[in-house]
Amino acid sequence: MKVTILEPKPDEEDEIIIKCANLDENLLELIRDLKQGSSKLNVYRNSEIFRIEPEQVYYFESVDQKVFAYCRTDVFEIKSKLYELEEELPKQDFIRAAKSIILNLNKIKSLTPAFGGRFEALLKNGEKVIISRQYVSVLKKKLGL
Amino acid sequence: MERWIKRLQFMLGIFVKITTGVIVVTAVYISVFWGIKVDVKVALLWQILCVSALCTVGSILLPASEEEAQEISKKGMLIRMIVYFILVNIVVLGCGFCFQWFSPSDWKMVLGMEISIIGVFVAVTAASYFDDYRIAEKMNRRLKEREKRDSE
Repeated sequence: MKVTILEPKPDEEDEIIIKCANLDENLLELIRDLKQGSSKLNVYRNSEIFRIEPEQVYYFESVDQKVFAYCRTDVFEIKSKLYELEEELPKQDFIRAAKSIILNLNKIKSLTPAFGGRFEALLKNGEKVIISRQYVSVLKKKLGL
Repeated sequence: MERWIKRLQFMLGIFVKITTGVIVVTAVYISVFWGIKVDVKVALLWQILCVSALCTVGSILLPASEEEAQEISKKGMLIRMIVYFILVNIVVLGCGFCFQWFSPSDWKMVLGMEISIIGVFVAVTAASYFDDYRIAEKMNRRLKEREKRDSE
């Protein structure tokens, strides 16, 4: 596929024109991504690929060199590393909760102390995630404390 | 290897804290039960180091690093702390008896020892828990405000 980038005239707004013979599924997916800002994540389960919104994920956890995305009831594998996800995900919604966990702030129901300077986050799906002492300051800052 | 180094550093830190605590409690205890002018033997210093070392060995129950802490749930941590507290009790009372720090027949002395152990342990644990509880309450309020803002 040929990609051409043209500079618009000063009075023109930015525009993407797709010139194609037929609008197949891949192209439709690409258009959807362009419209949504390509925020969806490619996740895997039983050799099937799924596309999910980051907002659907409660937390990401790295276990034995693999990264998993935990949704309300489903668990998917994701090929990105945690540090890559940390860069990609919306910074206002996701925080590092531990070396192996990235947590979605919007999915936290409540927080309680978990001894030793740690906190336990009770998620909206009933799961509990421990926030390490070293990341508590990041959480407090994110919440404006 | 790194895990062992972290464990040793953690235990060294615990040893220093316990030794400091035991010295303070011993000073208070001797002053109250034996009087401020009593002569103490050099052996007491070795006994204090011995008690601190034994209490430090028990700290193997507690996580030494963030990675270890991550694997322990809140309930698991509470259980470990209770077990550690019981262990500290046994060590201090056992050593106190062996080193003749108190007479088992004098209930006031035994009670004094127990109050000293509970006092130090509860004060340290409760102070940090309530401080964390206050922070958690603040964060919960902010989370609710955030949720309310997002839903509008």
